[in-house]
Amino acid sequence: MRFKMCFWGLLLCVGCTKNENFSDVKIIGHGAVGLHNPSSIYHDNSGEAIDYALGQAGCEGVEIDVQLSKDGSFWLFHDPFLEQETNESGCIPQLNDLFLSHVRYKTLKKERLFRFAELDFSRLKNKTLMLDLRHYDYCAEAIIDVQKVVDQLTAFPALINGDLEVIVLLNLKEWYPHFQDFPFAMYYYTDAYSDAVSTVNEVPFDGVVMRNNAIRKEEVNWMHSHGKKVIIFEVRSPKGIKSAFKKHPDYLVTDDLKATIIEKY
Amino acid sequence: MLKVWILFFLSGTAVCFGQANRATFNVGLEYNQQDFFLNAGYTKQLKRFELGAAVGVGVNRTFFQQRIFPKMQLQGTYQVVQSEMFRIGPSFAVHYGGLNVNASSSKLTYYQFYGAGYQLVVGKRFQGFQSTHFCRMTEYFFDTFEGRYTPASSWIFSIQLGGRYAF
Repeated sequence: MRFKMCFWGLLLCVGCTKNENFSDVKIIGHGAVGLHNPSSIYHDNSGEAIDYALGQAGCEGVEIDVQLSKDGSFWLFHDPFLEQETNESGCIPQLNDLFLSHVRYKTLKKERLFRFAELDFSRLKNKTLMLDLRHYDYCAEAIIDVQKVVDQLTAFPALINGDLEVIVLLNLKEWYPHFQDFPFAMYYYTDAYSDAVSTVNEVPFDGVVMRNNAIRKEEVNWMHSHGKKVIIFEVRSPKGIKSAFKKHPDYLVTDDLKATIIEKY
Repeated sequence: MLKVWILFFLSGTAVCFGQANRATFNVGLEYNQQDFFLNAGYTKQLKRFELGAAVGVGVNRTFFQQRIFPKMQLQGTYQVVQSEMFRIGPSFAVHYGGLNVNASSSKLTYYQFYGAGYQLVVGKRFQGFQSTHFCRMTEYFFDTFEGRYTPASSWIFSIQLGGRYAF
């Protein structure tokens, strides 16, 4: 009798949860498949990870971290120093393309460091590409030459001909004027909501990028009421994913792609 | 592919039930890269060789996300050390599971693990067990761009801890 009660109780808990509609929230893979995600098959920002994420039904785009090499090419890597995740050391802005082409991640698969020029833009049709443009060289302790970044962006017609939705994420508001003529949406990344409000009042960014625990639902609503969009990131657990969805941001940049797709659909 | 695995699973179970040796019923909690799994199964002792079959569900997906994530597994262990209270030996395991990641799509994602490791059992009638396997995991997901199922493979650990009742 007790067993039966437990069984039906469990079944009720599993079966009778009302799902809220989150169709207004786009799911984007953080570094394609999520950062430091133990359940991920591929390393973030690798070519394999991008193909895998874009093939998943329900993944509406990818966020990738872009760094400029010494030769002026874009390479995908999240951390400031190569030694944190790869078999080499140093900073991408200090290294040339030939050297970087031999760098591999410290995973069992040993994925190659991925060059932006190798990206298959056809897989991004009807999807969103978020470019986190890294502005700082941690080895030289200096800001990157913005003109070199602009030059490299113009080298990719697929980015500027309007065929795909491109969002550029910046946390240096001084860079905004250099990109304002591109057909990109520009978002300001910050850890503080007060900074987000003052910046969007001062610079015409299209929206803000904030961690899930740094913004509340009412603050998301405030941004929407002022014509600004919101990207929420740093969500991983089912609880965190649910809480982020309930704030109804425009984009959810997730560290667990499958858990997020399950929550939405 | 699924049919082949179901036949394999059933044949393994049939071998277990066909022998007149000591059997156990077991429940365990397993961690692998995909989820924590709650497993329940049956094992049969054939001299030093033990064969077991189990079914389980992923805890996070099934209970916290209300998306059932079932798995079945077959495991064989050769008990190198076999005393009344303590048994240990090399072990192999195969697992097969499926998850409907996107409920608006009819295409499931399938998981398949093959692994080798060890199993340790302590106790007489009420037993505790622990097993660890290093597995080759292959995920078959429907690639919406390619329009076909695509494999993605990885090496993972599967660690299981549980209790058994011998009868």
